[in-house]
Amino acid sequence: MAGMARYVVARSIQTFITLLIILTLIFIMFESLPARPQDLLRTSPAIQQSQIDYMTSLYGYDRPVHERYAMYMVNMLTFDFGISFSRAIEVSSILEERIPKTLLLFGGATILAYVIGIYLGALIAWRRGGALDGGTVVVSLVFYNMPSFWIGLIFLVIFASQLDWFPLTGWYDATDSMPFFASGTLGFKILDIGWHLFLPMLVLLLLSLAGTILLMRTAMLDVIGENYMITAKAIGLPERKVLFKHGARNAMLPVVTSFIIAFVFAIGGAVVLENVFSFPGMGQLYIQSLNQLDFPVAEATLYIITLMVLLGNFVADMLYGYLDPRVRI
Amino acid sequence: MMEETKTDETSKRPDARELQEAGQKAIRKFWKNFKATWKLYRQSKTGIAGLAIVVGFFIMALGAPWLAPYDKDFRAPATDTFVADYALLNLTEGRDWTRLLGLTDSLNRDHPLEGILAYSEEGMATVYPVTRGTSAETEEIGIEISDPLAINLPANATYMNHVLFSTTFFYIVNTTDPVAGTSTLYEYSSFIPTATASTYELLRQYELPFVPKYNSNLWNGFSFVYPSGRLALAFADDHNVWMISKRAATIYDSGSESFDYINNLTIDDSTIIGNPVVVDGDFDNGSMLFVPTDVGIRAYRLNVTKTLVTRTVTDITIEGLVWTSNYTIDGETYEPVAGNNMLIFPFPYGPTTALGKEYVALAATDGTVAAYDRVTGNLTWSTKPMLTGVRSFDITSLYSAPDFLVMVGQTNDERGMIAGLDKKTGRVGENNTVFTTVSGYLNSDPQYVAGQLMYVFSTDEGAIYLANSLMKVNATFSAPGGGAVTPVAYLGNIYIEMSRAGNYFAVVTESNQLFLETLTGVNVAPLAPGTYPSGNYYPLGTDYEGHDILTQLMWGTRAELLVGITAAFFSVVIGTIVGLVAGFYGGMLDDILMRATDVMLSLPYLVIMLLFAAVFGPSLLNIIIIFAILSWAGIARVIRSVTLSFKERAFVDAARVAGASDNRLIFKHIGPNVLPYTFLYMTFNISGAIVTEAILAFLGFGDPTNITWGMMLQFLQISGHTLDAPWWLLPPGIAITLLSLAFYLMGRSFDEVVNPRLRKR
Repeated sequence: MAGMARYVVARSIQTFITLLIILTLIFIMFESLPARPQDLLRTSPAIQQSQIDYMTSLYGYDRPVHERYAMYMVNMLTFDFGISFSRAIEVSSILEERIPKTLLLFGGATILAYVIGIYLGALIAWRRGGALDGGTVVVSLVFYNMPSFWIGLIFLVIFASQLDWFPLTGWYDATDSMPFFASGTLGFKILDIGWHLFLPMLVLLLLSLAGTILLMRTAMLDVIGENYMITAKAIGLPERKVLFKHGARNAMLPVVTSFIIAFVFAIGGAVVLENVFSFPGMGQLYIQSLNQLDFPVAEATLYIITLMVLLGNFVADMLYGYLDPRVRI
Repeated sequence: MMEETKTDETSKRPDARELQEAGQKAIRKFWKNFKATWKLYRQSKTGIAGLAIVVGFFIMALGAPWLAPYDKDFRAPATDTFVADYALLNLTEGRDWTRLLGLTDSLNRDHPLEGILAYSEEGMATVYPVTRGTSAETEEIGIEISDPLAINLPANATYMNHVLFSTTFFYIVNTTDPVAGTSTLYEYSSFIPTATASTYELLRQYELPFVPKYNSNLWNGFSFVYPSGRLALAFADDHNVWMISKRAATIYDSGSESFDYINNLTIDDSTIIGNPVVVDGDFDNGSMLFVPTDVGIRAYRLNVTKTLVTRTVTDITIEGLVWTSNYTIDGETYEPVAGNNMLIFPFPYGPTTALGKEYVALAATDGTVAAYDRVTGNLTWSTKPMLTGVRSFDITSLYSAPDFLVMVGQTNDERGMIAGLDKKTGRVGENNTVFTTVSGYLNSDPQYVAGQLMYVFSTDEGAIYLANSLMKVNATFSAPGGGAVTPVAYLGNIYIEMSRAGNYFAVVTESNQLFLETLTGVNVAPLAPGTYPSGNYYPLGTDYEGHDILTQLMWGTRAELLVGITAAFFSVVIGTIVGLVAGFYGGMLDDILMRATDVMLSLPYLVIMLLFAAVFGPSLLNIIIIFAILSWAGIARVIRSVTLSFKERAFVDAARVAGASDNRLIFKHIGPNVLPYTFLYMTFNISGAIVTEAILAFLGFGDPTNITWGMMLQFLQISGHTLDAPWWLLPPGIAITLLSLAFYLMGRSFDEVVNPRLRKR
């Protein structure tokens, strides 16, 4: 396992360096924003100059850029995000309640999309040319090219507004009535959150699924023509075994490699859909903080989202290393 | 199939002929390649479908000005998008209503009672007590109309004029005595003895020594001024003027005490031909009486005596002729026609409205308008106003409104006309376009609706029009249950409560109902697809502001294609160069560039794009730049690997041996061979850019000055109609999906051409 250990260390270092570069980029972008948070204060006549000065020094805007950069890097890497500008509470306490929600939404959708997508992609490639193949490919192509927010709106109109099966907005409402469980119990909470989560998750799942299915299908079609597949079939192995053990396993490699792209796609989708469904997660927080020029929150949110993506990428790399021993060497 | 083997040409200077040959060769080669590519491409049905959709959208984008049903900035008229509050009240049966007289004292907020006085031809006047507040019947309108009180007029009374003056209807009916040649004027007043009921009774009556032919034109509300609580009216026949100045009747009047001053004037040397008017009704300084006669305008000074302390008017007398002016227009004198020459009250202009800056105007039916200095009688300007597109017209009325001299008339093609004349020049706006013509003749003078800067008028065809301050029709109303039988009466701005103050106007309908309409109401846009009262057909409906969805969709195609293609172009240019350089040079440079590519690929690009959009501000150019900067990584990777494979081919080696420079090798020999991949990824990136633009726009980071499909959806979201306007929600989303899908399908099919390996399946 020495190869694997070296691989893990090498990937860790690479991921960390990437993180540093991205953090620097984020810093540069926030530095070049045309407005500073304290500028908002100036619009109010009731604010004293001393108060503005206090805010300026609190957020470090009275120091030279390089000091501010060092301060920023240390703060970010130690997860010390300071105080929200618009809400005057610790940024970390806002993030604490938001991160799990986004993770649930987008992590859940991504994992489901992967499992279903790989299975379905392999299956339709196996039965290529059939109605299932044609139908799935067309539907996937359409979903792949749909703007995420629009399909979210359509689902909202049909299932939440017209049919009234699901709630329009939010995450949890203690005043709902649920079958089997009384309000306030754990079972009720899980059920109610699931009920709120269903639509955004479904939309995100469908969107992510489209890409995965198309990718898996292509990869599987590549594999099907290989000699070992023909051999496997020729020696009379059951079709199921040929399809999943010999075919899908090998076809998965390029799909796992492209995990990062799907992951990045999904996080973008989550940010958009959270805003469509008024889902109180990181994406909604991010847009809000950008609009309010709440720098500490926007920086922290962007950082956490980037971290999520990088960690997801790292995990995918590990998985890839495990699946394909060649990369470990 | 696009790869070719060739050696580097020698470095001798090519002459023109060789250049030309090389050019032709290049074109032939391109054409050959194109045909070969097309042959392969057209085998893909989805590719052809994608191409067809793209071509369709291109036609839509280029043809938007001709194909779109409306102009780019079109907004549905208020007739379609605005539903005003109205109420219908049944009127007493068996009456022949000819005129609505309006409300008394509608501006007095403490006054509990109002009245609509309607006049019938049989000499009956009816007062409807009106109360502020709401009733079940007229809940939208916010006023309540009680049972009518009839005023019984003298048997042979004919309507002459009315004035709404404080709490008084100075309601002038005329009973003539043909034998004696005299007539009587009656003044009815509403008193408010209690807070709940008013009475209308005959307050005074006046004997005139003649039967009046002309009287001060008072009903338009601008022709008299009474800041001191006085009004002045003048009546005339051919040679006599009878003038009365009176104070408003109040509940403190005993009825016997008179504040009226009556004067008579006889003009022997000429014939009176039009309505006499009294100007400067505040009776403070320089009050005058003007009389149009067949030889010119005659101006008389009014001598006003006041008490020193209270400034109360104690006497008014006609003093003497100040000036006369004949009707001269550009050196020619025109023939006045009796009964058809209109005088209007003074209109001030310039920075000050002080005395001496005011003018009095006269209009003749033949389209002539002249303005005279009030004090000296000098002709200030005279003109025959021109109306663009109208050959000739007759003037039927002229009066002063805040913005214009309002001119009403009939055009040569028998349409009603209103026009706004500039007070300084008499011109109908800069381009002679501040006018409008309508079907049917006007049966009421356009009345100015102060809060709305609009004019309301009606025609003899029963339609009610609202015209804006450029005299263009903003909205048309028609009374339900048959057209109007009376001219529209503007009832003023009635205050009910803060949210319910509104301008009211009313007509009597053919079905004997009082139709009360107010300008407060609701915007009913977004409109579902269909035909609307203006006659406009909106095939895909409208948005909240009344923009036609189909028009917006077509114009949006332009921005969409522009952003998609430009953004994708720049991103693949960056990506191709990075890939070529990294693949060709290898080593450190390759490492650095590929690390950078990895970083770019692992960026949550949409999230970063939002930050970029916030940093650079919302504009299409910025969206293009942002997309190009963040979307080059994928193509760079592909181009690098393709470059690596080409680098080892024999034709590159041959070129290198022949002494080609690195630049030449990259751009001349390898470059053309990676171009198909560049083009392939460009189609994918176009599809990505289109969706990305829509997402940015939807989240509020789009360009608000351009119509794009994303902006249409963002506007839908912020206007709060997401859930109830499917005709607005669906088209932009379908268009985005279709266009993005079309480019993507093209890319997939092209992929099969570029990567022959894929074709076997």
